[in-house]
Amino acid sequence: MDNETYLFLAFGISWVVFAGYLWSINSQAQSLTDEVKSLRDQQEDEHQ
Amino acid sequence: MSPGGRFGNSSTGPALAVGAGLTMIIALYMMFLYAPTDSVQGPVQRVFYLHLPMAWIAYLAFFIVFVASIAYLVTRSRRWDQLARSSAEVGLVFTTLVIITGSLWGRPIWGTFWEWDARLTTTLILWFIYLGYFMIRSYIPDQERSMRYAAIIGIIGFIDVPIIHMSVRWWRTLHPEPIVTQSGGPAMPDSMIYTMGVALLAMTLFFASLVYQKLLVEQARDELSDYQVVESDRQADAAERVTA
Repeated sequence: MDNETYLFLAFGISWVVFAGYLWSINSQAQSLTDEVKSLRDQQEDEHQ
Repeated sequence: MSPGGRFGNSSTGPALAVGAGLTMIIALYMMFLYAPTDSVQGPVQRVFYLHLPMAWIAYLAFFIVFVASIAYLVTRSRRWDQLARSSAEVGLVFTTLVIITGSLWGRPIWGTFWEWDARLTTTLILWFIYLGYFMIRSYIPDQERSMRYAAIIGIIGFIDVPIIHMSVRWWRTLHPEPIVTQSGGPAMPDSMIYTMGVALLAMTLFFASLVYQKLLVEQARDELSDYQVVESDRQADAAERVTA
């Protein structure tokens, strides 16, 4: 591999890892939002 | 910190994300189009603008873990634990990338991906310390105890950070000595120093944005788990009343 390939590998891997991590935080937030929503719905059903 | 015991407010997250995005675009422009190509190392030297800010962020992340862990042990307030675990997770991601980008830079320059040199080895030790930090958290079922033990690891683990920083001065290593913070000023042209400055700012804002997002997730997770405990106690009481 030449000098430039290592440069693009370093940048490429870093951005893929960051994108994956952002996606993981986002899906954790989404699943928590869904869980809170389902608990709220459950509570509302119990009150009615 | 808001009165409710949370860090930041509703505009903190978007402001950090926009700031990080804009400075990152400028930093990328400077890294590839403004900064000159190094005459000795060639294009791969541009990894420096990624590798060094990431290393700085790794130090910063574990400094936050250190401070938040002390604050947790003193106050026993869960928000400090939430901050420590958010910063540790993001710090672990950055430390992983410091090791990867360093190896990819080292291969064409040193002729090897890895060498058991003092800087590389102490950085790897830091990576394992924080891996242990998360293992403790997931293996101890008692939440209070796991937060306490994690805080102790967060404090002791930070001792490795100054060792990493000083390793290139204390031992003969393959890793070069600091060229930005050396006595007598940085040993590189102004355009490289400015590029490094903007890259450092961009990466710091990006880190702050990630920690903030992670913190919101951790706060929501704790609130949900508290709610589930209260709810299951309520249901158990109701069931007991029915049987009685």
